[in-house]
Amino acid sequence: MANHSIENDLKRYYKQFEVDHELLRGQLISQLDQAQRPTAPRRLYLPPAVKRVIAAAACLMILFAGMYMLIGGDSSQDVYASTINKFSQLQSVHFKMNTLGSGEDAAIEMWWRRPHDMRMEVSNGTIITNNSDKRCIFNPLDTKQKLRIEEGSGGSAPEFSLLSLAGLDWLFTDDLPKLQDGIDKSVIKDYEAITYKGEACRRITCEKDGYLYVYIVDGLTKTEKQAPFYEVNVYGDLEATRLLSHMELLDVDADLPDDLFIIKE
Amino acid sequence: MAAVTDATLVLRTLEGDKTAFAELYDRYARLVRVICYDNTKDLYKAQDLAQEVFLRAYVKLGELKKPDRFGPWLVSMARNVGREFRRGQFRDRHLTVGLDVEVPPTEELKTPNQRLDFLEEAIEKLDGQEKLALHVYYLQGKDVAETRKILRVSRASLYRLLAGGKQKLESYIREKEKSN
Repeated sequence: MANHSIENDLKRYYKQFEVDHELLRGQLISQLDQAQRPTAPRRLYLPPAVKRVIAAAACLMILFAGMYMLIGGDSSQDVYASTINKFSQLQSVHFKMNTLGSGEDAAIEMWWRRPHDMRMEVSNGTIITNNSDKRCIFNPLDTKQKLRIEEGSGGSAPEFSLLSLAGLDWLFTDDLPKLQDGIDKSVIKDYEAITYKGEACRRITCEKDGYLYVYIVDGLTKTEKQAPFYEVNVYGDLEATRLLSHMELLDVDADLPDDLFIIKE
Repeated sequence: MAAVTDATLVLRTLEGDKTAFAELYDRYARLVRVICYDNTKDLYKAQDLAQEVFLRAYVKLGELKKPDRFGPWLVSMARNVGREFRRGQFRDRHLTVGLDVEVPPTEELKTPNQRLDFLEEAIEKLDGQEKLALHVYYLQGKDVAETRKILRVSRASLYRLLAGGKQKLESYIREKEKSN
C-alpha cells in the first residue's frame, strides 16, 4: 500500500481549484469594465502610526473645541442647523437603520436618491425598490413569493412611512420651509465634544415634537467635510428610554446606478 | 523587495487600477473557489460563484473601511454568497463578455481518485471552523499569521483547528479504505 500522507492528499485536493485560473482571471477583468467602479469612501484609510498621531491631536482638538464653544464661535443651534441643512442638500444617501417604529425590530439597509428613488433591503430578505415608474417587491428567500411590480408611488411610497415611524422622515423632505420649521422647533438639550471612532466629533441632543434625537456629527461641521451626521438615535421619549430607531450613514452623494432602484424579472 | 500589501492593492483599485484588483484575485481566488465549492459541490458552479464574489467585492470595495482587512472581508463575502446559493437564490448574473469558452463537464475537471473522493467526504464532515482553517492555511501558502488574521483566532487555536481537522480526515479515510 502506498504511504500516503494527509499533507499530500490535501495538496492534491486543493490543486483542482487552480484549474482555469488564468482564463477566469481574464474573464473577471473583462467584466470589471462593465461593473460599477468602486469609489473610495470619503473617510480616508490611514496607516496605524498616522492614526495614533491624529488620535493625540484629536484630544487636543476636543480641548480646543470645548474652549471655543465656551468663549464664543458657533452656537450649538448653528451647528445643528448646518447639519440638517447639509443633509437636505444631499443627492443620495446610503444608510443602515434599525427601527422599532412599527412595533417590531427591523434592520434595513436603504439607498435613497433624490427625489423619490429608493431601495430597501430588510433583514428578513425582502427587497423593495421604488422609482418614478415602478415599485417592485421581492423576497428571494420566500420561494412562494413572486416578484411584484406596481406603479411607482413617488413620495408616497409606503417605505417613507417606515421613516416616519422612525421619526426620520422629515430629514428627507424636499420642502425646505418645512425643514426649516423642523430646525426651528428643535430644542438643543445637550451639546458636547466627543471622540467617535477615533475622530473628533460632536454629539448633539435635541428635542423635537416629543422625540429626542441624538446626532453624532463631524467635529468640523463648518468645513466641506463628509457626511452631515454619522449616526442618529431617535427616542420616543425625552428620557431616552424608548429607542425608536438608530441610523448610520454609510455613504453620501455616491453615484448610484439606476438599476439599483428596480428589481428585474 | 517586500510584497505589496493587500491594503495598497485595495487603495490602488479604488484609484482605478484594475491590475491591482487582478493581483488581489490571484491571491484569493483559489480560497474563494473552495469556499464556494463547499456550498455547490460542483467545480464549475464554484468557479461561477467565485467570480460573483469577486465582482461584488469590486463593486463594494469602497465600503471596506479597513483595506488591510480585505482577506477576512472577502472570505466573509464568499461565505454569504455560498449561503445564498444554498438558499437557492443565486442566479447567474454574469455577463459573459465575448469569450467563447468551452467548459468541460464537471466530471472531467476532477481527477478520478478514490482516496481524493474519501478526502472530500471527510472535509464535508468537518466542523465549519476546522474546514475554513484548513482551506485558508493550505491555500494561503501555510502562512500562520495570514490564516490567524482571516479566522481571527489565536495561534494556539489555529494549531488546534488544523491538528484536529487533519486527524479527523486521516481517521475517516483510514476507515473508508478498510471497509473497501
